[in-house]
Amino acid sequence: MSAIIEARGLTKNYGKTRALDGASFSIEEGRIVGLIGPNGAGKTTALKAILGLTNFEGELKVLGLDPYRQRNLLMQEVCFVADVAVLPRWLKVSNAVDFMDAIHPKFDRSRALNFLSRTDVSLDKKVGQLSKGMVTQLHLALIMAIDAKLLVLDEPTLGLDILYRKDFYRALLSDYFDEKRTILVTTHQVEEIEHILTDLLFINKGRIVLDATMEAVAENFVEVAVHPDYRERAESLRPMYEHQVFGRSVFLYDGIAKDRLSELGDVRTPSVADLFVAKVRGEAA
Amino acid sequence: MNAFAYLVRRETWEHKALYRAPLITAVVLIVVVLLALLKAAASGFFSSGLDHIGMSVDMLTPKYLQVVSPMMMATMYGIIFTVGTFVAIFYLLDSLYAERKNRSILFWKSLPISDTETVLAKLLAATVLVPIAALVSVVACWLIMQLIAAVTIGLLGGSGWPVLWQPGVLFNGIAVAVKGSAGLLLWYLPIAGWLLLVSVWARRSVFIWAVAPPAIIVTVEHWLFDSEHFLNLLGTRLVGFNTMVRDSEVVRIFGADMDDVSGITMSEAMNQMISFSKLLTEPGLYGGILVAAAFVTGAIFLRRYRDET
Repeated sequence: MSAIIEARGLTKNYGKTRALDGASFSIEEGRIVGLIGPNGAGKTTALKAILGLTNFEGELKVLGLDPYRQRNLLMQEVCFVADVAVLPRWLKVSNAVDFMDAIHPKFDRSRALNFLSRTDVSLDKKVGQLSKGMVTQLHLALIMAIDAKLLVLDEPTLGLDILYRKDFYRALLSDYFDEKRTILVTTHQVEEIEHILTDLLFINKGRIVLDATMEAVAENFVEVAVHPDYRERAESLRPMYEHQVFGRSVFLYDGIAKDRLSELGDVRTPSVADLFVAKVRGEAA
Repeated sequence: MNAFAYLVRRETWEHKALYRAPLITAVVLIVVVLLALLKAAASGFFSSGLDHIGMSVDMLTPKYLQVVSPMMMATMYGIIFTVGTFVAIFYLLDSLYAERKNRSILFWKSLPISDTETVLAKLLAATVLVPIAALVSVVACWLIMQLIAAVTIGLLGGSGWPVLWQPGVLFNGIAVAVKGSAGLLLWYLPIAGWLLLVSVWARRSVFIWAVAPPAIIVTVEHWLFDSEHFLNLLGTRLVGFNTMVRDSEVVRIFGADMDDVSGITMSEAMNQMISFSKLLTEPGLYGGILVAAAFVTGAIFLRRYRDET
């Protein structure tokens, strides 16, 4: 396996605001990585740096290229869908397919048409006549027909209803993803994508606060709904975070054996959302 | 079709006016002429004959061929290319502004198209595509007008056939248009470059950004130095094209009595009106091209490296 993205001490300042503060991480080929962080944590800045849309301090290699200086080369191999990268309203669906076919060396026209035929998007409509869900389907069809090495998704399903959101990730997983491709995704609806992720990257205040595979997360992090009698014992094991669920204290631990914790109460692997809250809040405390 | 050609084609999807405006203008001109003829017919023009305007039927066709037909083409050029120029100006101002305003820029930037290709495609759409659309419109409009004229002359009792096919006027006209457009393109390239730069730069009010900086420079120069160098420079650029290409011979011909045109036909005169040898010796032409290159490079650079957050 080789690193698709390699970042060392990635730093970016906007005036006096530090958007990225020495973030370091590495993303391997064939992974689906969730980049998760609160608003203003530096997610979008990190993605922009990866896509060569902003300059930065520190080291960053994407597919072995410097994204800022070798952007034109990089974009042959990288695709992105962002909530803010909207398709223009005047673009006709058939023209969009023709255009991609003409300008993108790795675009497969039949794949795009095949995917579109399974949606309600008709070729003679303009983007402005489609619903938001259908525009996203069109965008996805265009992107999935590109044989790219890295796909970057920045809040791709923002503003879509649950059916479109489910379809979006299902299509991505069943029709697009394979061990040669890598997907980097940010979203606020983390519970909808956690089952498809292979890796987690938590970012807070411009720094990476967690970089782990989902297997490692399942191994290392344990959530215990502690029986009231064992509260003191639970606290002595130095939990990362505590919160209340139905009047019971739930403690989250990092690196403590599961069988030891199961004596204290019901044990389970925390959801990504809970882990995220624990990491971000825990840091603040 | 290669990628760059498709980039230019994309511009015609977004801005249909690039080719539609000249065509619609041509249609309007034809409709106006037809309406005028209908009105004339209703007032008995065709039945009362030509005597009351002091012309005989025999004079009609030669007069038309010598004067009216080339004048008609010149007028169509004037009108249709003026419309094309306005379309090109507003297109250029919008071209790199709209994609930021409607936020489609990140979609375009997600594709393997360099900023250089994008900006040059837009420049080409305005400076080459629009003149081609205008030329096609002029030729089509003029040919239809000749058909209308032939029928009209026939109705008046003359012979309309020679009017239908006038290769001299037609090909001279096309030559004038191609030369004229090429000359105009080179001369006005810095203006086009400036509009592109404003389009990529301005966060709002592109039109004000296009006009205000030159106006401010003129005013400041007047205050500080009590001179008008920049104003003169600007004036020469904006309205000086005619003097750069015009031959005195042609001025004489257009000033002369129409009946007195001898030795040189009107359409030949039009062809000579644009003298490339004079334009190409004008240092301002080359200075302008350099300034244009700087503006376009600036536009490419800004689109590439500006981080709008």
